[in-house]
Amino acid sequence: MSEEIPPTPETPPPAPDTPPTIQRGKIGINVSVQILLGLVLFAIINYLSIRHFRQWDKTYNREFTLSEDTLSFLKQLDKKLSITIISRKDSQEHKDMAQLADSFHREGRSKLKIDIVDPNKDLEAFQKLAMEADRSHIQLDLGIFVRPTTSTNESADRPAGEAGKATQYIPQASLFRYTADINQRPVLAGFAGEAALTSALMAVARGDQPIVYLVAHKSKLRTTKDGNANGTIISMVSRQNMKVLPLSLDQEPRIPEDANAVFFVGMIDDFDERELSMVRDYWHGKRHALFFMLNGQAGLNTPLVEKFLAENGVVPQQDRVLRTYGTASGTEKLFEVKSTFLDASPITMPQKGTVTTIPGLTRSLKLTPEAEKPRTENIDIRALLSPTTGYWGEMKYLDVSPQADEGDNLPPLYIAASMERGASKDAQISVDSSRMVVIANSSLLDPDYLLPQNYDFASSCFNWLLQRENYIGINPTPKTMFSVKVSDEQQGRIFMLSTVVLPLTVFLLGIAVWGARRG
Amino acid sequence: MRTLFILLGKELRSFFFSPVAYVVLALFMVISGFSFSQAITLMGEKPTETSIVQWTFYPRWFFFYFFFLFPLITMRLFAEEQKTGTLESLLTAPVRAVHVLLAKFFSAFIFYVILWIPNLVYLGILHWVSDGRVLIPLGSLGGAFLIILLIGLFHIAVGCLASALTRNQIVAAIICFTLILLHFLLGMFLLLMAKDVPVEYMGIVNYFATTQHISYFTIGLIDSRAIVYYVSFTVLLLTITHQVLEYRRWKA
Repeated sequence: MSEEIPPTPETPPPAPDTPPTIQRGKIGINVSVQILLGLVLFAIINYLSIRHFRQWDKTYNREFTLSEDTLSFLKQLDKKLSITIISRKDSQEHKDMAQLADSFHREGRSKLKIDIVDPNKDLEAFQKLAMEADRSHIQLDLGIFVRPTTSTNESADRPAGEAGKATQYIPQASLFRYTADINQRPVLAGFAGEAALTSALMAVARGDQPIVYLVAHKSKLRTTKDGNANGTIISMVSRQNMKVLPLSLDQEPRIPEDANAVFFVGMIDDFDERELSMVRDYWHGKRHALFFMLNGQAGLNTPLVEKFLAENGVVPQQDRVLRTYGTASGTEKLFEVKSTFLDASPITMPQKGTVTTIPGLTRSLKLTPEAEKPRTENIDIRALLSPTTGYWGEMKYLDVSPQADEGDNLPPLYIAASMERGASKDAQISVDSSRMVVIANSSLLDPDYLLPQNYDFASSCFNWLLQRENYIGINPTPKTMFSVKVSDEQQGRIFMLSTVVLPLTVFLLGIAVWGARRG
Repeated sequence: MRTLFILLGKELRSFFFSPVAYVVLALFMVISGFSFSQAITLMGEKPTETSIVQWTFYPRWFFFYFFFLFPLITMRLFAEEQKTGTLESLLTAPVRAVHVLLAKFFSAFIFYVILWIPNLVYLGILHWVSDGRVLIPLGSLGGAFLIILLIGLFHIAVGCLASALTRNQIVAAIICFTLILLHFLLGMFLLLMAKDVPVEYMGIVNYFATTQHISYFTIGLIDSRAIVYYVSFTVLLLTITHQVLEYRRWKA
């Protein structure tokens, strides 16, 4: 029962309730403005996001991360350069080529103009490029073409020789490294695009191309259908934008002035006294480089080569590095040398601790930094490669069952070393030093036995010799091939669990829940 | 905030008390389990550049089933409540429309995340069965999960909007599917049209292409652009959905 309160005559009666009027027009405008503001905000945020973005490379081989050296070069680059990637978009290689373009574009946006041309789809653009390259005596095909960003007229006006210095072409085939699978089919093992492109950009930006002379007439190398170690060297050196020229010591009065380096690979003929003198004179110059890969062939005698090396602190021994192992039929010799990269030199620093296999016959090297010449001429000697445990330098390596005994060279052994004449901690003085690398094996770069880590080692040696330490850290991106090896039984178990058991359990759980709810 | 959690709990309960959720989950598990088994078979035949994570999270038939997920998850969110008339009661109750929206959105998103967990279980099973001999790249796994979640956020927001626009669940599902497909096709169209654009403009083209986002993230390349794109699009769509709900509130 509610008690009614009688209205008092003093208070006026309350005004009747009127429903509030909904101002639909105003609300509509309000909503429209809010949505419009939301759209504008969305556009601004996304515009800023395109302009200022960040990528985190968590790929297995850090495929999208450029090395510190490349980044540093791009930062210091003061010219605008043009990179044209000529690649077939439907090819297997295109993905890596496009990724390379993407990585360089990301890091050098304001300094690099990057285009991709597919000769199958844009023949006109390709022909235009080919004509431009032709002026630099470059026969253009698939690969990367680097040049300064100049107009076509400017490029046409430039003399042919000058144009050659200003353009670089890297063939696509030289960017990819392959190994063979168990069926001897080629399998992609690595992509060396970054090193090659950085090198080409440097060459175009600075306009120089180091010249390497290869002394081949004194060598005897195992040659297969894929070529020999010299072929590997020519391909590697060209890939790093160095020019390779042949050199016959017996036809020249001296080593050419323009030689940035001279390579001796697998020599079987010794120097004569005149040649020894030529090599000595060259070694005593400034910023010169020598590269020796000693032939391990049994019974070989090159006393003047060894004399030259020994007087500079690296003495090749007459032994062969080996170890033995027991089999059912007796003791066997193993000449393949498992070796570790040492951390004493910038050459091997990126690979320190990595174990590699050196095929063929290998001699050991004795390092004598205390000898007279290394001391007086300030030759810095560093060991690069050392055999793992179990190996020794056997003098009677032709015996059936050799044993490490007196007269043999016992660990620690070295099979590669570097020498730097006029080395100094002061970088400004050190730039005039001459450098030499000796590897006591000539099968290391044999195409049939070429291992990725040996390739990288040789590549680092070349770059160090030419005082291009910046390149040493730029290793090819390895390609990881993923596979799953499970037995048929295990595969069947996985199929049952993932496609039948687990989904059925969830389905039955659903029925149970539904039943319980209905119940 | 407390209201939001109470509503979220209610929404999650309604999801898991319905047999539809279990049927969707079981069906999805069958498809992803089959994809996983196929990946193992393919990778057992010969080594590939594609890891088990890419095969599992982004198989060739991925889009055939991926687009159907979102209409199924989101079609009932608002449409059902509108049909039964409970949405008006909910909106006139002392809760904010934004709480209702976020509760429904996150409940659908949590269910979507649960859908993907079996894939992790499968990888765990493979790791266990093979004694850890199968290489599972963690960067790739993280990237794959991240892009799946980001695309999920965006597509669920599309589904929420579609469901708020109509009281018919089937119509909501069709709208959701169409919008998702249109977005996907726009990206594909731009990619096709942009075959010959210079590299500097490829970033803009790739910005809208879902296939590019997935292929980059599943190899482990995380890109802030895709993150901003999906999150900002989600916020925009939720804002529009909020306005639709507010319209219903003052209309009621």
